[in-house]
Amino acid sequence: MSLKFWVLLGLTILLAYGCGAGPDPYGQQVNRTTTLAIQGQQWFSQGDLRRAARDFGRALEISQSIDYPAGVAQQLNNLGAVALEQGNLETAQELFNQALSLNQEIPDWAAASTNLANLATIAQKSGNLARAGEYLQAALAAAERSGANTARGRILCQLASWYLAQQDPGSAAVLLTQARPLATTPALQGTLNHHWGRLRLRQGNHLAALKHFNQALAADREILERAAMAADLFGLAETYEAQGELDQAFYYYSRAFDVYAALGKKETSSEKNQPAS
Amino acid sequence: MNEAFTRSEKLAGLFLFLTLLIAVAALLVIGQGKAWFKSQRTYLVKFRQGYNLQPGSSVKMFNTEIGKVTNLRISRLTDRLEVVVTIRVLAEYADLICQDSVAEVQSPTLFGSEYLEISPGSPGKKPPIAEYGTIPSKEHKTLADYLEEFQPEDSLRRAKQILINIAYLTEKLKIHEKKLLTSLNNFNEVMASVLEAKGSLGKLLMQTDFYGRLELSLTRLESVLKDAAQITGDLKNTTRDMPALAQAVSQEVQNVKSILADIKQGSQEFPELMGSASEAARGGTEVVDALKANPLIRLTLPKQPPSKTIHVEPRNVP
Repeated sequence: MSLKFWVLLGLTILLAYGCGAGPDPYGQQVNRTTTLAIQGQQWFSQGDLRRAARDFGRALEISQSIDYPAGVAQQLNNLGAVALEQGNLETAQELFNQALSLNQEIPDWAAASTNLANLATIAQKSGNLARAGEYLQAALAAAERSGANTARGRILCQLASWYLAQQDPGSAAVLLTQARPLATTPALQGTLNHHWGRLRLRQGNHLAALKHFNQALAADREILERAAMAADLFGLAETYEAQGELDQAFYYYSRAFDVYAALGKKETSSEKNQPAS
Repeated sequence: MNEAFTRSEKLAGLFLFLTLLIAVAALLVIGQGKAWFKSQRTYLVKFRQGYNLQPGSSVKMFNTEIGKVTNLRISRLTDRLEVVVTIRVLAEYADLICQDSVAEVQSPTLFGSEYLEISPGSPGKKPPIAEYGTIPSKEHKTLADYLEEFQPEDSLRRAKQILINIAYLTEKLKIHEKKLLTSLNNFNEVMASVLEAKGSLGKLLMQTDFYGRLELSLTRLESVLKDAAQITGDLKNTTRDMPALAQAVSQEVQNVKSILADIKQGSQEFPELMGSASEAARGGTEVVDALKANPLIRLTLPKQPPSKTIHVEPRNVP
């Protein structure tokens, strides 16, 4: 058989395969939902909450119209995230609860663990640390049930953060050590390093804190997670301040403030993290 | 010597011939559609401004396209600068363009572009305009012109003046009404005296007071009537102005109504336009979706990342 024959045969098969595309209207609508949700996530990451809410809202409408519960639950959660960023805690809680119910029905335990973690964030933001702890325990159980390492790693990191807020660095260190092998994505690596940085800062190990905050910044920059980047810069500034290097501290505070300002969060960031002790 | 063409040369010749044939046919078809081969006549129209007309703008009669604008230029021949619009009209309609035809620029309600509307003349009654002749024109009124014409301030001022005049007249009438009533009272008194003295008319006639009071009353009555006549005259003058004013106001109201109708029509067209646009966008999305669905294309497309459930950490919340 000549080469020409094989080339022609290959082209014929490829053409026949290409012409064989069947219509998949449901799949197309699901793809549209995904596209809108990704757009919304990009707006959310850039701090443009209005556009993020618009895209999540459209994705929600399409998901509801085609009876796509996973999409509905995801968009309810994402709209809750927008409400939370806007400081509308009641709405956010309502939306996270709706998403949680759906994810439990589907069931999608990884997504349910995220819903529970978000509810914990609301509780923590409201000053109810005990309630936040309960949510995080439930989130950890859901993440373990899902079997998804990333989900588990994410919850472990948040739980460690909660222990840090409870002035319990020992428990935080244990959880962060557990989370280390699970951090396989840049997002999770950024989160893990940030919390390690906070822990080391609390322990007075400034050199290690700087190393972790820089690693966190690099990871968060890779995925352009601006709010996380700002938190990393703030951590660096706090570390330099604790070291007595005020010039450097001022430099990083300015950079953190610039990122917050770009996100529309111009309030002082001191409430964001625990002050260096 | 054999000079016969080879087979390849013949094929090339045939190909060239066919290409030429197709090109000529295409030219003919396009020309037919664009009326290139129809006889046309050229006319001029002059305006104070170009009203956004452009070469290629339509020339219409009875809302039917009969030609095109071919050129616009600003004429400096007279002290008053003007825009000379050259149009070409299909010769078959040339007989409708007479001395009493009027060219006016028409604007679409909201969308589209301006065109030149020529009103048909009176063939037979008025001579047709010769080629390269100038068609009488009417300046196009813009919304600003309508508003300027309407002069709401002036109309309001006039209306206010009328009301003041009416108030003044009413006041005057009131004063004279009092005078009239006084006179009538006096007259009543006299009549009462007459009636009371009905048994002794001579005695009554000797009452000088009666004559004096009667004279006074008559004098007052005369004055009142004079004033009344003057007032009536004033009123007449005022009422004479009223129909003209009312007509002017009515005219302006009609203009405003017409503008509002245009706007309303435009607003009705707008949703339709938006509908078409969104329909087109939807169509485009469907085409892209269909292309994406094709396995051949899908293989070469970068894989879309999955959407995720957003996790808001406490560190990300201000």
